[in-house]
Amino acid sequence: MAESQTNNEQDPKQLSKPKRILTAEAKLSILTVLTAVVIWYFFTDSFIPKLFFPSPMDTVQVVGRMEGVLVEYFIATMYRVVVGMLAGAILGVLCGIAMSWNKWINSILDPVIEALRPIPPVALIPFFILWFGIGDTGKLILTALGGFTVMVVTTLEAIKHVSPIYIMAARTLGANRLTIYRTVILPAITPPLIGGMRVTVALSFALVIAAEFMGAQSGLGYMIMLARRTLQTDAILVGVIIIGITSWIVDRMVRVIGNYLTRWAPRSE
Amino acid sequence: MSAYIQIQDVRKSFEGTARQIEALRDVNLEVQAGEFMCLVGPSGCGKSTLVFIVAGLVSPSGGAVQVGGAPVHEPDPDRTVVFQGDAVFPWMTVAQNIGYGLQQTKTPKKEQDEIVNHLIDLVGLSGFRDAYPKELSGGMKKRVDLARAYATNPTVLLMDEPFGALDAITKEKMQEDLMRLSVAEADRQRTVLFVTHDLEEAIFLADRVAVMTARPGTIQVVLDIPFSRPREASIKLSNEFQALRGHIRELLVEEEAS
Repeated sequence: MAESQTNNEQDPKQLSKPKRILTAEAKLSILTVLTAVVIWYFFTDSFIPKLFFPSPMDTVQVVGRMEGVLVEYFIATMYRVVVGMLAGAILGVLCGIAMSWNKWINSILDPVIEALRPIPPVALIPFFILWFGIGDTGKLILTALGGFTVMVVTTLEAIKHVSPIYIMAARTLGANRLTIYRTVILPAITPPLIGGMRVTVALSFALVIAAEFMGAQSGLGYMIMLARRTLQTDAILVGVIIIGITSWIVDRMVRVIGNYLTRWAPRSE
Repeated sequence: MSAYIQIQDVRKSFEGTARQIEALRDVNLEVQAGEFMCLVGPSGCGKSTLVFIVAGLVSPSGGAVQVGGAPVHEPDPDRTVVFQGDAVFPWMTVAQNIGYGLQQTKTPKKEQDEIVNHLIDLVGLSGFRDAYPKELSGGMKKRVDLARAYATNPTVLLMDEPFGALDAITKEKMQEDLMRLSVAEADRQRTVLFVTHDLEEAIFLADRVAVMTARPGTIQVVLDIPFSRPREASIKLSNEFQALRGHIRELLVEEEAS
């Protein structure tokens, strides 16, 4: 009764090749980055004045000059991003699950979420400063709010699209409602939740930086704002680069964790 | 002796988008304990709905279903279902899938492992114990599904066109496997209700074949299949088999035309 396994996820070409640390695709991507730096190097300091766009040298120099305060600001921003994002995302997923579990909970929370959803959280920053001041609290709540809205909508949509056949199969095998949520719905919605989480990461960085622009005493957004007032474009660029790189790293971490959690899912590359 | 599955005056209507759809009308059917009953009928005659009602997944608009003397209200691991679509949980390994029902019935861990390992061997997936379904072919996934339905040792096995999505060769192999499985696992009286639109499949597998009418579906006639078990695939070529097939086909064609 043995049956040959279908090679639906393995590319035979990749199997025959010895494994290298860097694939040709990765090498090409690295080349793009290097080219960009080279272009940056040649055009700044010559064609483009320093004030408009600082050169790589200036940028590196400013990192050395600001070292201590840079680390302090980086930590302040990361704390706001990570804590706010996780709190909002966890609450959003829990609310979404609770709303699909019970129609009364759904009736109570649905208008709240519908009222929050169309408002860009950035528009609320003045209120948050008024209510919570320019410390961490307002920024954490704002970031959490953004992540919450994204994740509650993602969770509700994902649960709606769980194939009914899985739920019927679980029921016929004796699973109760709680077990079905734990063993069927939760794993089934994990792939779309990872997608929602990546949106949340990008949004959280944007919200924290925007909040730091408008009122803060620390953080990378605060640093960029100060540098703008004194026209220190090199410091602005350093802030932008650090935000870009960390945002990319956090997104990468979400993808790696997500790939592990959904290692069972068929993928089309 | 009263029948193990008793379907009495079962009716079912659905709220369609424009009007009410009457799927089943006054269905009466008795399946004896240990019997293998196939349900055939024109497409859309409500045979799947009838099986879902027996499973307890769908409640009838009228009438009643009794299994083993008790009325059916909700699903129970004593009445497992093999669906037409792929119902194997992709996030669980082969062993976890097969053991799912045993976990719900709180079977002791050691016993669970024994049953799961036994079934994995029986359906020929020995080497794939810890594989995820994405690594399996359609036929292999169906075997996992079948093993999962057998695992809780149900008295009733409900099958809704389980091999409908498989290619012809795989399908024939699965039918023979099912025949083998029903002999190997005969320690318990198992009653099977099997929906199909494939007449050869129905005659090959069933003790009796119930032929349904077009929608609203009801039982037109129940035919005895005289071949002894276990059956070999070669009986499909016999004159008697083909005569039966022709007879049922005529019944269905008439129904489709009316």
